[in-house]
Amino acid sequence: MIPSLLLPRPLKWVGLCIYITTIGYTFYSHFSTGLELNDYSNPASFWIQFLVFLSLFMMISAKFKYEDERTSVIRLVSFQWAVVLYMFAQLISLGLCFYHQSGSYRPRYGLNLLLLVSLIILYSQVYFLPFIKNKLFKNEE
Amino acid sequence: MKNSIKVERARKNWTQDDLAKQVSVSRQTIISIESNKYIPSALLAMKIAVVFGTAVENILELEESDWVS
Repeated sequence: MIPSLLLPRPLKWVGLCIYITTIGYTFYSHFSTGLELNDYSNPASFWIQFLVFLSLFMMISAKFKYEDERTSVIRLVSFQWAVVLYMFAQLISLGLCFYHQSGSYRPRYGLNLLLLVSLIILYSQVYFLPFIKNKLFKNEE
Repeated sequence: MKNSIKVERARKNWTQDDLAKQVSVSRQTIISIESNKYIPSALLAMKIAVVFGTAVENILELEESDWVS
């Protein structure tokens, strides 16, 4: 089954551009004006988080060059692993909060973190690992 | 699950890329199937059987371990 709810392939590059620009702007603002992303009174922090979410969503939902059933399975498994890792991160942070008796260890930007982990797993499975295996073991024709 | 795709491919003198193009998947998918890292769907298995001009059971074969849950 090939998922039909995928975005056109070029949006991957659009998403990457938005992501790099937003992260660059975030670092610049943080070090120049002391912008805090969890400052809910500042609209800039909302827009940064929104743009990061949008760019990650574009990258993760864009079609691959060869979209087939294996890529759809990998897509599903990457989401599954991202959720599992996120649950562990939540549990560990909860433990740290109780240990230090402080709420400052709660993970922030949860949704973006989930998408980022999923994106890393997806691209490593589809592009990076096969590339490394090809280089190391020279797959036979 | 054992598969004899590599054998059938060698018999036809096809590359992994040739087979991948005929069944509309990536070469990486064929590599994963041949190395038993990915089990193809019924649809893809039937497509592969059709392009080889044989039956699915001649290409894919159940092993003892497949019966153990």
